[in-house]
Amino acid sequence: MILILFLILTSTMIFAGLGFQKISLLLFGLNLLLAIVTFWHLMTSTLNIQL
Amino acid sequence: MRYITSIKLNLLGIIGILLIAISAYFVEFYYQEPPCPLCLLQRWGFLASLYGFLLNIKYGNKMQHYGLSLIATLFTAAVAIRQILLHIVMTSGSYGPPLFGLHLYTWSFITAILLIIFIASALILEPPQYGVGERPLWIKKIVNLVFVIAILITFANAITTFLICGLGSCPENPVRYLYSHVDFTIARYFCS
Repeated sequence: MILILFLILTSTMIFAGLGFQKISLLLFGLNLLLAIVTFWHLMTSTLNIQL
Repeated sequence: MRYITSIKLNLLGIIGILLIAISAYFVEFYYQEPPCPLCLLQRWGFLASLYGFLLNIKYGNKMQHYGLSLIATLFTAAVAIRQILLHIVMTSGSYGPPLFGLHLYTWSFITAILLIIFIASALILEPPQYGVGERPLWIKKIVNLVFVIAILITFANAITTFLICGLGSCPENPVRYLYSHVDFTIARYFCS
């Protein structure tokens, strides 16, 4: 999952560098959403805590 | 002229974040300490906060760009504080070696707070928003160079994440790379 985050971030930067600002913004939004889901998953499932 | 001042401020932020990313690699190889999943998420957060600064130097200064950096930095701070809380009790152990008396996740939290203050200051000091207009050639070259460095470092993080985690979920306490037999003593030789 974290690998996907880095790969999407890389492509986000590539698109921004090439001038495709809207696509890169969309990718960044998706990336942020995935990061929050990953963090939530790490917090609740693997660390044995209750929220 | 405004653009030149703005680009200097943004470049300062970019250089700071890139130094954080490089120092993370230094700790990883010098102390032979593969990063945990929360550490990787913090690295991602710092590199994601780079994105807003990159947009600023490429497309002109906009509050929205700073907003993107701010969200990513808040995410980094949240992950760092989570890791601090995991190890805050003396008997709960720690992850990684301490640096100047504090662990890396604590430094990560402090840096994220400093970055938030930096972004807030930039929003106060800089004019709200304006386009790039006609830029000198040397600025265009610097912008392109910065983009290439940022992309390379982010991609390097993707590669090392793959080497640690593979295609599945990352191990909670990694001790070595999964797909590589990197001899850490070689890295230590270059770092010393």
